[in-house]
Amino acid sequence: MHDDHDDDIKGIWTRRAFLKSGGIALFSLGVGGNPLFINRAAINSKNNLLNQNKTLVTIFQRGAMDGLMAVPKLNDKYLMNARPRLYMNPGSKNDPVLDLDNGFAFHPSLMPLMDYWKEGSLSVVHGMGSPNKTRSHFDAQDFMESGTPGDKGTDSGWLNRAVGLMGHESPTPFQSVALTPSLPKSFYGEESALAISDLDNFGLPSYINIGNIVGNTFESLYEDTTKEILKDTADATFEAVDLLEKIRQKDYVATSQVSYPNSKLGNSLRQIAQLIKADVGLEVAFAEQGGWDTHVQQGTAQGSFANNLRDLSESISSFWEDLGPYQDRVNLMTMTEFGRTVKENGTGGTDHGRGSCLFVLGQDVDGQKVHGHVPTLAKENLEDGRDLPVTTDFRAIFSEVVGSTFGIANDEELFPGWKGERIKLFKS
Amino acid sequence: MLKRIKFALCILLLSFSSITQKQSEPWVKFGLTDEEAARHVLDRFAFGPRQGDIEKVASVGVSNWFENQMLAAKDNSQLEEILSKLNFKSLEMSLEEMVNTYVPYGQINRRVKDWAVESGLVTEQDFLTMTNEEQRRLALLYMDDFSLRPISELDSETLAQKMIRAAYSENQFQEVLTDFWFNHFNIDASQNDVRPYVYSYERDAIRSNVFGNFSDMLEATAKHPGMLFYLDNGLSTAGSDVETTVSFHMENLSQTTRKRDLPKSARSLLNNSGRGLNENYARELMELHTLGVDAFNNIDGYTQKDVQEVARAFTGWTWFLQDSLNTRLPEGISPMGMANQDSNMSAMDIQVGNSFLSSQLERLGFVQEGSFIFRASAHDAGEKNILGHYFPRGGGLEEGEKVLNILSRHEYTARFLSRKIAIKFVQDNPPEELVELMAKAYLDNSGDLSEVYRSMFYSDYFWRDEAIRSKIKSPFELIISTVRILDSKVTSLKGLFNSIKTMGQPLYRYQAPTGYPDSASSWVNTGSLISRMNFGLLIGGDKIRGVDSDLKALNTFDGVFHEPESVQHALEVYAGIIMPYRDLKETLRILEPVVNAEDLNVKIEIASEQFNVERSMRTEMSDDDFSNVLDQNFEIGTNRKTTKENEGILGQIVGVILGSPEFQRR
Repeated sequence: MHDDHDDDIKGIWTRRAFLKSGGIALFSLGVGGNPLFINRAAINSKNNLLNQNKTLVTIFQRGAMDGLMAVPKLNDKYLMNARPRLYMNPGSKNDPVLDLDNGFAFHPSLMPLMDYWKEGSLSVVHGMGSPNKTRSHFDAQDFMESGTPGDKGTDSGWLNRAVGLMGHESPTPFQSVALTPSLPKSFYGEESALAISDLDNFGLPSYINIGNIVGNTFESLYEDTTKEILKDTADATFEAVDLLEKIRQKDYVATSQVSYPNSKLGNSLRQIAQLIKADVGLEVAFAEQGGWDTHVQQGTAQGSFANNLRDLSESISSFWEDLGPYQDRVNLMTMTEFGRTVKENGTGGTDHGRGSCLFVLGQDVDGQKVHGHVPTLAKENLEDGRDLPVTTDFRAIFSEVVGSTFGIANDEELFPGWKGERIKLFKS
Repeated sequence: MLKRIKFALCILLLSFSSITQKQSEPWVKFGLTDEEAARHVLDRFAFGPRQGDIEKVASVGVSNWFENQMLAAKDNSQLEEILSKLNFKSLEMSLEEMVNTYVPYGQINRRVKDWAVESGLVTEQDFLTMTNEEQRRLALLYMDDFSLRPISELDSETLAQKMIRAAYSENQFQEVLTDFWFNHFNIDASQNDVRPYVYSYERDAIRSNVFGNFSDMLEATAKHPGMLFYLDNGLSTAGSDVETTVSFHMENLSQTTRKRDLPKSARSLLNNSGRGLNENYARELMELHTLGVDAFNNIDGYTQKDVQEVARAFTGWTWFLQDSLNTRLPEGISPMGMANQDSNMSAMDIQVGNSFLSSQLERLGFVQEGSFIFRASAHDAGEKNILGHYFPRGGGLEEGEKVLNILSRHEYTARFLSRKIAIKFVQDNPPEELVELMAKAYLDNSGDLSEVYRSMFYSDYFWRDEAIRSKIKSPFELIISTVRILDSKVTSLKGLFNSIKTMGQPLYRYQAPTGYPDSASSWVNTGSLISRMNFGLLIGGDKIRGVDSDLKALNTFDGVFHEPESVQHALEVYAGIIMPYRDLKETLRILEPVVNAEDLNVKIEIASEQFNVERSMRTEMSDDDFSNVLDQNFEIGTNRKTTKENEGILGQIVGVILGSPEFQRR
C-alpha cells in the first residue's frame, strides 16, 4: 500500500475513490492535515474517477418567481407605471434596490450574493423561459424538468439524460441525488438516482410500531407497503444506505461550520455540501424551494417575496461559503417554470407570466453580467401585451451549463426536438 | 343584602344553564370545537361530509342536527329529483306488485315457448334451434306483452337506490342505520329465492323501523319473505304426526265447518304436507338477532332445547303469494312454503273481500297479514317451554309473536344490541360502561332505539379521544364518502358497484346471516390497503366508469381556479379539502414520497391485481345478466363542465390522498 496524492491547483486534497460493491475503498485527507488512512482496493483503470469531476447543483424554484422583482430593470417608466405598489427605486429610503450599474438592480434580499456578483462568479440570465405558453404550474414544471416543452409523453428528465451523456460509469450510487421525498421528474429515466429527504435518517425506518391497528401501525403498514411497491432498484438504494452508514461511522460527513437558514432549502444545500465534501462521487444534485406563487400581497423590500428571496440568497451564500476550496468544482444554477405579469394585480401581487430570470454561480462563469434580453416594457414589446417575453429558451442555458460542467456536447439527445443554440455563459 | 342575593342567584342560574349546556354539548369538555364535533358526527352518523357540511352542521348546532336526523324528516328534494329522473319502476311498488312483475327467465321459459308458438311468432322447430340470445329476446317480448319485467332489473334498481340514497339523502343517519340494521338482520340476495324480496325487506322491514321500537323491526323481519326464505323458516312445518293448530281447532268446531264445506282449493291448505322442523331461523334469531351467542348455555340465556322449542313456535310462519295474474298464466306460480301438490291453487277462488281467507279458515287459526300467512295446518300446536315460559297446547300465531316479545325485552338482547351499536358508532372495543348505559336506555324505554342512540350520543364515551377517528370505513362507506367529498358527477353506478365488490363487499350478498364484520382488523391488511389505494387512483384519474370528479372546482373561488404552485403544495391543499378538520402532519409526511413516485399508477395497479387474483369474488351476480339499469345514462350531481385535465398529476395527487390511511378512517 502506498499513498496516492493527486494535488490539484488549489492544494492538498486528494481524490477519493469508492467501489460500488463489496467494501469501500476510501482514502481522504482533511483540510491542511495528514492523510487519515489510505486504503485502496482494485480500481477499474478505465474509469476516470481520478480526474477532477465537477458537481452541478440545481435549485428549482416552484411557483413561478417574479424575475422583474428579483432583478428589476431600472429607469423603465412602463415598469414603474405598471407597478404602483410593487415598484422599487434604487437609492430610495424605503426600497433600496441594489444598483448593478448596468441598467438592472438586485432586490435588496439578494445582498448576500453581492460579493459573488462583484468578484464575477455570479451571473443572471433574464428573459429566460419556455417556448410553450402554458401558464399551468404543473405543466410548465413538467416541461422544464423533462426538457421537452409541449411534449407530455417524455418519460425521462433532462438531468437524467445529461448523466447518461457524461461518458463515464459512476462507481457510486451517489452520482445523482435529490434532496426531496421522492424523485423529481428531472431525474426520471434510465440512470439511477437517489431521493434523500434527510441524510441523517436515510434508510432508517421512520415510524415506531404500536400495537393498535388504527394507531400508528396503519401508517407503518402503509409505508412498508408503498416502499415495497415503489422501490426503484432496491440494490442502488441498499448500497447507498450501506455506504452512507459506513461513511457516517468514519465521521467523514463533517458537520458544517457555516450556519445555514433553518429552511427546507437551507437544509437541502447544507446536506449537498456535506455530500460534496465527503467525496462520495456526487455529480448532480437537486433541491427545490416553494412559495413563489405570489398572487397576493407580494410585498416589496419586505414581505413574502422578500423573505423567500432572502432564504434563497442566504442558503446559496452559506452553501458557497461552506464549500470553501470545493468551489472550483461546483456550478450552481437556479430555475423557475415561468415568470409573472409586468402589471401588478388587484390584490397586491402578480399573476402568471412568461419570461423570468435565473442565476448561475461558479468560478468559471462569465459573471457580473445580466445575460439575455429584457426590452423596454412598453405594451407592444410584451408577449400578449402583458408578459416579459421569453427571449432565451431555457434549454440554451441548461445545455451550456452541463456542457461546461461535464463536457457534454450532444444537445440532440439532451434536448430532443430542440434545434437552438447555446447561450455563452462561461469564460472558457 | 338583596343585591347580594340577586347576584348569587344570577351566578347560580348561569352555572345551571352552563351545566345544561355542557350536557347537551358533551364534546366541549374534551376540547373539541363545534367544527370538530360536527366532523365526528358526520363521520359516524352520515357517510362522511360533503364540501361545506361541517360548517353547516356546526352552525345549526351539532346536537340539533343529531336530533333532527332522528326525525328523518329533512327536505330531500335533491334525492327525490334524482330518483324521479331515474324512473325506477320498483321504487314505490308494493311487495305483491313486485312479486307479480319481476320474474326470472328460468321460471317462464316454457310459457314463452307456448306463447310464442301460439301467437305464430315462431314454430316449435325454430324455437329448438334458437340461440340463447334469441330466446332471451323472445322472452323480453313475452314479458312486454304481459307487463312483466326481468328480475335482474329489480336487482339492479335495488343496488342503485342503495348507493344513491347513501350518497344523496339528507336523512343520512337513516341511511347509515338502514345499512347497519340490514347487516344485522342479514339476508343474501345471491340466493335465487331470496332475491325478489330484498328491496322490500330493506324498505319495509328495516328502513321504516330504524328509529322506532326494536320489537317492530324484529317482527317485520320475522314475517318478511326475505327472511322466511333465507333462513328457511317458510319451509319449516310441524312433523306429520304432530297435532297442528288446525287439528286442534277442528275438534272444537261444529259440523258445519267440516272439511267438505270449504272450497276445493282451500281444502289443500288444510293439509300438513310439510317436510318437518327447520331450526335454522330459530337459532339465528337468538344467536344473531337478539340474545347473542354469549347467552348460549349461559345463566338466564338459551339452550339447544330452547332452539328447538322456538323452531316449533315458528312453524307455519310462511308466505303466500297473491298472484292476481293467475288467470293469465296457465299454471299458477308456485306459492312458497307449500308442497308441490298445492301449486294448482288459484287465489281467485279463495278471495273474500280484502282477505283471501274465508272466515272458516280464520276460525281454524289461519291468519293473513298482507302477504304473510300463518298456516295453521303447519303449526305444531303441542305445549312448549321456551326460555322459562310455558306455552299450553293449542297455540297459534300468537306463540311466535310472544317469543319475539320475550326476546325483544330480554336483558341479553339489550346488551347484545347495545354492544353492536357501540361498535358501529363509537369504537371497535367499546367500554363495558358504555354498553351498560345503552342497554339500560334500551330496557328503560322498552326497546326504543332512538333512546339508545341518544344515550350513546350524549355520553362522554362518544366524544373521547379514543373514539374519534377510530373506525375504519367499509368499502361501501369509502366509496360513498369519496363521491360525497369530491362532489362527483355520477352517470352510471356499475363502476362504483364493481369497485365495492372488488374491495370485498358485494352489496346484499354476504352469504352468512352474521353479515359483514365491523372491525378494523377485517378491513385493514396489505391486500385491502392496496385495493383501496388502487381505487383512489382510479377515481382520482376519472377512470371509474360513470364517475367524473371536477377536482379543479374544489379549489375554485369566484370562478378562479387557484392552481397549487407545486405537487407538494397541491398535496397540502387537497388533503385539507378532502379531509377537513383533521391533523394532517403525519399523513402529509407519508404521502409525500408516494405522490410523486415514478409510474405510480402502473405499480399500484399491478400490485392490486396480484392481490386480487386469489380473492374469491362472487362473480355471478344472478342467473340473468346485469340489466341495463346500472348503466343507464342519468346524471346526478351539479352539471358542471368536467375537463379531461384532471387526468394527470392532480388526479394522481387526489388519488393518493383517497388511498391514504387517514382517509380510510371515520
